[in-house]
Amino acid sequence: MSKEKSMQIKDSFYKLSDKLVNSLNSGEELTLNFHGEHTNFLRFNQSKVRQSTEVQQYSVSVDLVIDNKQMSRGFNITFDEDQDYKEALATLKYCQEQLPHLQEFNAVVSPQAGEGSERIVTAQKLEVNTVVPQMLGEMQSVDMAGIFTSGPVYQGVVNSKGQKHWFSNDSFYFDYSLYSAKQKAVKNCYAGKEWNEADFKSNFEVSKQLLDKMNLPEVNVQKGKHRVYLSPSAVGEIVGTMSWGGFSMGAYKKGYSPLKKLKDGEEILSGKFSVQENFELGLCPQFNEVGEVSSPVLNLVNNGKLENFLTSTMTAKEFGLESNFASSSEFPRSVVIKPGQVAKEDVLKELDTGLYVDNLHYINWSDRMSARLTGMTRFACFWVEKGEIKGPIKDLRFDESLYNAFGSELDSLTSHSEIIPETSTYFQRSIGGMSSPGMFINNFNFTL
Amino acid sequence: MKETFKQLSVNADWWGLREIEDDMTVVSVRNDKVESVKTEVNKGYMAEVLVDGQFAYFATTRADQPSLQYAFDQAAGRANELKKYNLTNFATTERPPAQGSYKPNAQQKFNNDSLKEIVDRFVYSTQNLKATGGIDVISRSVRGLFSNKSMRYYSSNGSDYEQNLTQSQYTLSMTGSYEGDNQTLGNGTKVGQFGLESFDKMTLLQEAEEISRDLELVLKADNCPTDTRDLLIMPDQMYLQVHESIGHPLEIDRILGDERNYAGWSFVNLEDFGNLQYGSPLLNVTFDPTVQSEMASYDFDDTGAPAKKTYLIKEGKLLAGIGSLESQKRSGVKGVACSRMQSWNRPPIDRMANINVECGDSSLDDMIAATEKGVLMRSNKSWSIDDYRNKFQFGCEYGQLIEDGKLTKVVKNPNYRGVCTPFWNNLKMVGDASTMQVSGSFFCGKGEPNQIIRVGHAVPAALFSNIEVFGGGK
Ligand SMILES: [Zn+2]
Repeated sequence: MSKEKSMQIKDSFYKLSDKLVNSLNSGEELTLNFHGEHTNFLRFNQSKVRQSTEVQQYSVSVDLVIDNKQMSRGFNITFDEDQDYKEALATLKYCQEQLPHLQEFNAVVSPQAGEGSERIVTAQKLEVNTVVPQMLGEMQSVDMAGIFTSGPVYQGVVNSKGQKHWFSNDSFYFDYSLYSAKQKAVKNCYAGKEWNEADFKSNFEVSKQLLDKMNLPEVNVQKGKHRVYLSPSAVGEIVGTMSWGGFSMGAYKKGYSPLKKLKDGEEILSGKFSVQENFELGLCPQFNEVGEVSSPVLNLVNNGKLENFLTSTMTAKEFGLESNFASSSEFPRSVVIKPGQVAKEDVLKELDTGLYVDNLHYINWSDRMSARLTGMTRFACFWVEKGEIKGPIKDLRFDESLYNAFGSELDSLTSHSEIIPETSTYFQRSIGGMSSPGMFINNFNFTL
Repeated sequence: MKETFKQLSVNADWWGLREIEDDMTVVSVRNDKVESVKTEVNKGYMAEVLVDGQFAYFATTRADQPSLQYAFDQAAGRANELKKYNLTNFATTERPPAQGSYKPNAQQKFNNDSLKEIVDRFVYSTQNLKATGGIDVISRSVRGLFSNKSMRYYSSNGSDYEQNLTQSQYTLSMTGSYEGDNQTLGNGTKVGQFGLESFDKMTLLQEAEEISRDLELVLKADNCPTDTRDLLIMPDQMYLQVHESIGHPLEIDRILGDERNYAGWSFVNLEDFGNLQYGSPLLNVTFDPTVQSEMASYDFDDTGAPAKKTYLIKEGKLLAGIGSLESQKRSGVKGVACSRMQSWNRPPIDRMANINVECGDSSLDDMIAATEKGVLMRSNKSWSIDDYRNKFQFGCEYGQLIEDGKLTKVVKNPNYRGVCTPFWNNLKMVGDASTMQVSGSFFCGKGEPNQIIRVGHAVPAALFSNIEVFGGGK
């Protein structure tokens, strides 16, 4: 994507917004959110092309506030100026007509004035017919399944108090897994802004070498408590599930916070465990959907102590608290987990004897109030004895409380962290990612 | 749109256009106040081409003829670039012509007067969630999704098909606290092709009263015991058990490996069709697009394949898979009309639609009376299963012990775990028509790029023997 293209889209969104703001009646306040992307999705199976889909989608959501009443309605943008304005006016009119039917709610957030922002990250356009031969050329010797996603993503916010924010990013990822004849698999992701053939090849080499290890005879590991090493992506899976209400002030106030006992001082986490919302990662915008800008770094859990819950202005208003300008969902947007001391090359030695877990799958709360999670091991998981890989395992189910795993049983963390890019594409491409080290945990409970 | 389509000239063996519009409203009411109302109209166009056996797609929000021509040209160009890496050589037989119009009756489409009515009923429903027996109520809430979704489909081989669906879901629930423990209990979520007619104030009041009565029991209950016993699963948990451990493993694109990098593979192999004893002889599972008011009733799937009721599992034996015409060609296994796309911006893939368990002949009382040591579980709150769809674990909001043929004390945090085929082979009794409930979900996730699809599950209550159950605590 060129900078010009991003500016062009931004200008037409700002122009549309200005026109709509000018049409407001007195007492009406408005926030407009823009999302757009032009994406190439290439889906692979058996190292061949399964499906190819190119998507150009652009939408605006109109959020109207009158007194203490609020509602939003979204519509799709075509970049035909007249048509889009007509659609925008009809959308606004719908909200104006429907709003009187709602009752007042004291936590409705009105748009505020404030400084705007603009961040445009550009990249050279990736031509499918250059990249695909490189990808699939390397892959003909293996059985690969995966997805290649590339192209720009745009986000913007404008409100009737004059605040304007724009963020666009252009990136790709090739999220893939390789399979051995015995159905053993390894997973990897090559992501970035510019495709580099040599980097891609070395990423692929690492996966291939790991897949060779998966061909060792399978070790039969019994359920029960084991020492484990969770790789950065396995830790990322757990913290990702934790984010469903775990760091949310609203969830705590509404009675379903899984970290209630931590907040209430009835349980503790390990002093080695710290999580921040940290926008210095630079993967997503610092503004939220009402145009508020969060501070660059916010400690959520610091050395095992809960320091802050993410608090949106709506939650803050309802419960008489101070907002830290979280998004309305109060999900963390840019998680950084503090690393520890163990060097990358010492991971197997540090694990000594136990399970090396490269990925986890399908995690859910099995008892929220006890912060207990269940989920499955997936992809490259090995049994290690005295620092040596003995062989891959059959997948196991764990069921374990965070007050144990990230509490009394958390032994150590790696000194290196990995960036785990957000690869979710439900409805639209998500942006962002997290930074996590690996973790060594004792007595991790496997139940099936 | 039909006229515009006819004017297009596409350099391909076959091409098709889908125009999809989803007008969706999400309403949340908490403690008698409207917490949020979010609505959207999501409208767009998917151009699909087939060139020398390779399909390619281009999605756009623009409806004018030059833009659609561009979309088709881009898709055709991409198909040409990629055909040498083709996984399967497809043909126009995978896109049969579909004609007609599907408009289920007996439902009130949502219109400009609906929001006022929904808000009124929702506020009424939370007003009737009440604290009993000294519990503290933290939150009384209801959340609903209401969608009018339409699709028009035209193809170069004569498809001219229209589908209009009104689909809804709502969950009423209350969270309370007692002696330091918090619990939530809901109505198990009501889902289907229905409009305002299906949740009048009478229904909502009855649901609110049941929740008010039962939440106190759950909050004051002991944890579910940890042991092995019989398990009586009610429909509002059974639907998800079916979804996760029958629906997903039978998807042929999973078995063929398309989903290995994301949703996962399957323990089922192609050779298992016609052979595998999936469950006990009491287990009958159908793909049934004909059940009125069930979420995924339709007459053609999104590629024009005609939808018919089909037995996937009969008397416990696996007969057919959840596989589209594309998957049937790739696998040689019998499938159903299940090629579905989330919306205009995603390609069709193998999806569940209505996947049902046929009722048996036991009443709920029969099943309770037949149980010496067991537990009844209802209203799902947690689910997890491995990527081969083998080892699962579920948790429910409400549990009640069954001792010597009678329901006895309520237990909290009831969970159970098991492995797919041994579990279904432990199916001991299947509920009759009086225990059947039409359920489902707006949110089945799968695919790369990711897609959400709306599925239906009509299921009875069912009794299983020797299941590992357990409660909460760290
Ligand atoms: Zn699903």
